Amino acid sequence: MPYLSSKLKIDDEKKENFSFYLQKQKILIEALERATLTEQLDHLKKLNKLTVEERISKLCDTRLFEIGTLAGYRIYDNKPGANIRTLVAKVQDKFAVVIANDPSEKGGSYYPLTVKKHLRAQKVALDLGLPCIYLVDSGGAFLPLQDEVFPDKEHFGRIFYNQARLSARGVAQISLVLGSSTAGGAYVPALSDFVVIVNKQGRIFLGGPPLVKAATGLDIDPELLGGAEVHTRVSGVADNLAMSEEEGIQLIRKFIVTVEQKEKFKLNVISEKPPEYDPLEIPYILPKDPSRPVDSKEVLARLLDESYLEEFKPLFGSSLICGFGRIKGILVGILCNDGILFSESALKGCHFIQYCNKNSIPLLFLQNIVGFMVGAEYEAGGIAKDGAKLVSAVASCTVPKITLIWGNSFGAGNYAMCGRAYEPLFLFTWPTSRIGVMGGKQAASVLSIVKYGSADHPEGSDFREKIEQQYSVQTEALYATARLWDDGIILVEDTRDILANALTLCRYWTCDDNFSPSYRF
Amino acid sequence: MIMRCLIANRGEIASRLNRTLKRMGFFTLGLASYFDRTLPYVSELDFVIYRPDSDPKKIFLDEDFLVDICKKFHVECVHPGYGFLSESATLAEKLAQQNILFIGPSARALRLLGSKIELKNLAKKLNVPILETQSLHNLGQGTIRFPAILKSAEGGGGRGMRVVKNFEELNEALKLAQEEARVTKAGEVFLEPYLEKFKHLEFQVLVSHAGDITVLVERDCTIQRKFQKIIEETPCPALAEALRVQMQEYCYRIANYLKEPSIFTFEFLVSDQGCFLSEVNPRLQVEHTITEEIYKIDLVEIQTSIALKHAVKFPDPNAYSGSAMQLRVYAEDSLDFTPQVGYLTELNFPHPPSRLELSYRAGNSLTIFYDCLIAKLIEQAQERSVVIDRLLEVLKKVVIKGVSSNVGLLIGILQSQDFKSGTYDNNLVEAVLRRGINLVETPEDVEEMVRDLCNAKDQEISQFSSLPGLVVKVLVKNGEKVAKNQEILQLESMKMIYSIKASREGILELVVSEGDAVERNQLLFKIK
Repeated sequence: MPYLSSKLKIDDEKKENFSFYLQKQKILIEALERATLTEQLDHLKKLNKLTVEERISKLCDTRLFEIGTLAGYRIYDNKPGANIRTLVAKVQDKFAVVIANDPSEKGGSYYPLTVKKHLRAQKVALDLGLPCIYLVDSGGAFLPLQDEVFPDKEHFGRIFYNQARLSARGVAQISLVLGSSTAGGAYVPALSDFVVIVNKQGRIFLGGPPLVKAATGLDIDPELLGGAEVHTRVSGVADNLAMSEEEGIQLIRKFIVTVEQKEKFKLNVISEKPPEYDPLEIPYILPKDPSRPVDSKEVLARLLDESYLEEFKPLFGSSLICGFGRIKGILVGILCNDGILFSESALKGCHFIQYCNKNSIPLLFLQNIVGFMVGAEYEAGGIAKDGAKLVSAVASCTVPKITLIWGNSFGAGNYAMCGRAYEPLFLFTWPTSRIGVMGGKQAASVLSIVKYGSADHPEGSDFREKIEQQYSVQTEALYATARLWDDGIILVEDTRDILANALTLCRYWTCDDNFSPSYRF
Repeated sequence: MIMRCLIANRGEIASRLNRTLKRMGFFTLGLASYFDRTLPYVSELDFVIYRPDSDPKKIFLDEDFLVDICKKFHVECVHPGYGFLSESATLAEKLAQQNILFIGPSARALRLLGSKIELKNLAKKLNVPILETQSLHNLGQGTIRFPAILKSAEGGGGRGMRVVKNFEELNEALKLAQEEARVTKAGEVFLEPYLEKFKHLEFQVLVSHAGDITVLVERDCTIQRKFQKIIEETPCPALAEALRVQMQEYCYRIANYLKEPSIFTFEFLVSDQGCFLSEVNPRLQVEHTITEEIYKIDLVEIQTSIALKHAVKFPDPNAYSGSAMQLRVYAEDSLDFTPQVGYLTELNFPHPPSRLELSYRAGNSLTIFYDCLIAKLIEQAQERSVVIDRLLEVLKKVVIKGVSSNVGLLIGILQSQDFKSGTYDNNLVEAVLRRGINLVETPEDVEEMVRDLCNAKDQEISQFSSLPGLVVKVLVKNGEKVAKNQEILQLESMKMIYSIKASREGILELVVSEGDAVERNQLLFKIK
């Protein structure tokens, strides 16, 4: 029956699951609030500047979702976010990627993760051909960490490389200079198609006053060196002058209307319907103990429109659910784990992906996987090559892919189910999700065997505990998102909206590749 | 710098306040509990403070919690909406202590007007007619006149009011009131004569800092059930000009005495014994919308501008056009009005009114924590009859699945002769119910009972039930040839019988039998 039904009964165990979810959520929400609503308003008020949140809210009509909101969480001393906000939003009638420096701490300078986040946002813009709007207000590279910010390929310089090439591809690059745009940073406006600079506030210079003083001995007023008047009247580095931040934002909003945005990928869309079962019940189903099994169809019944799933090959390889459903009316091909991966499930997945490729159906990978089956029977059966077929299909996929890690994501299962390395258009996680090469207990056993000869050797008990502790910390969703291993932890409650937004953006996706993967039979 | 305003409310009023406050240039913040997360208002405000692990009621009812939120997020002013803490002098004071603006009158006015007993004393002092309270001390047989109504001194929105016709009922009611007083902050109770036949008329009063007082034309909110308004219209279709002017003068008298800048609603009960001031509400009302429609004003903007001490221009009370009406669509049982909780699988207004204020959308859950107002339907036109016709068209096409609603009752009231003539009183709702209302609210309901998967001529189609229920009658035998739209079986669901028809011709293959209980989306039969 294509309409999924639910047998959910809310007992004590389920209520414990729900409380566990709320616990994880509470920490997440605290972190998100610190990242988005600035706390130190006083110094910004003195300078008469808007906060980055206010700038974003005045610029954007609707926010689809934010990327990497908690980058740097518990890595840097600053509030989470790594001094930069990146999001996909609707500005007037166009979808755009907004990259806004957050000057409230350390002058908005670029830490290693600030660079990584900026580059990630540009990648999204590249994949979808979305115009980029830069709200420039940064002191440049964070000097104490220059060895992790400057020299390498995926470092600061890459930002300008990307910008030049995006612009060359016809993807509009628009800047609003609201503060400092110094040294390398000056290339952000210089490489833009349209630059607005705010009077007596925006400053663009390749060499700032300290450098000028050091080189020539001269003291120079930063306004005279690279202020709005100089660049809009004399040098032409900026295009339009705004007398205030608000005016600047309005100018950007007027300009974006002229940007061309064409749909390139046709989606199959009908009118949206809610699931038959309440998505708010999902936290009852997510197990507190990650080693417990979950009935994936209970989750799917609460994510898909009308709880409708047209399953593909349901009787074969049943540990991977493949089928078609809609999210807010948009047709999508779904691959969802319901157990560990076997040869059959991998083959089924590969076949399903090929079909979706041929029919231009975007793919949604719903990950809850601890790995492939182990054992002599399975190795002899060729599970390695069958898993490889699935990995190959995922890697050479010619339709947009979106991944949601809703449970576990361990080992090769992560690869087969389109983890970060497999270039999903977006990758989101749930607060209770976990990611790692393997689970903590498993790692402790394996390493104990290597070091002490057996998995439960009495001498190794402290050792095993340390390993488990380490893995327990490193597999957490917050640990992962802080390092930008994903585009953000999303709440279960917001999932349908965010996935629908992500799917809507697939309209602007193109694939230049013409793949014909070889499969080992 | 942009001013931050916290909207300390939820649902349709949060959306409504947000529209105006954003237009006025505020950065709007809001609050949501777990069940509110996917409501429309949450995606409309600039920033919603989400507290899924907090008690859903406490979020909007705890003054200290709200003040802490304001401090944490550097909020500069708070709009309380209506209900919740909109009449809390404590909240106004605590915010004032933190230099946070409360959009409403002063704590002094909130205290005075918050007590119905204090208000009666004030009215008496100023010679404004009120219904005399009867003492609850020395309940000797002869001293109480029935029928009477037991009310609590504090608390608005018709909560806790009980009509008593004799001493037994009075004692019962007193016991219940004592129970409630332990749980709510209802204050003391008092007894008032109950008018058997009355109209409820209220006046929007605007008072500026400069001392301007304007009393706008009345709203008629007589159509109520359990003392909660469900239909409001403006102006009253059957009010003598002299009486209108008299009541407006009473409003002016009290507003002039209080000298409190803000917006207020003065509520009167009007019967053949005269008019009586019943309540003065120092906040925005649910039905403020209809006044806005006939005057083309924005009352939220006026209220906020007064609070900000900006210069405000009030409309001319005579400069209104036509007539406006608001219908409140509640999720409740049509007959006994018990609020419904449930998960909305569909909420659709295919023919929407000119102004629609929505609290929920399809996919949202209605819970026991909050009231069950689903939507407000508002229309305005030069002719009252046109407003009624338009609203009937809207109602007839409304689709609500997952909870039952009062749409059938609203249709019954709008179609009644008394309502159309405008001479109705508070007894209209009961009269309509006695005459019977159509519980199957829209004709499309019946067609919607089945779902078929494909319409291709030679394919087999399956028909599923879209509601849980009981198969009470099967009219066709297995294997028989059926015609399109032939009735196949009858399904009883939620006290109603639905007739399930074949969606095309063919040979019937029954899957269920008489007496079977079916779930949502269960296969009923196939047609080959």
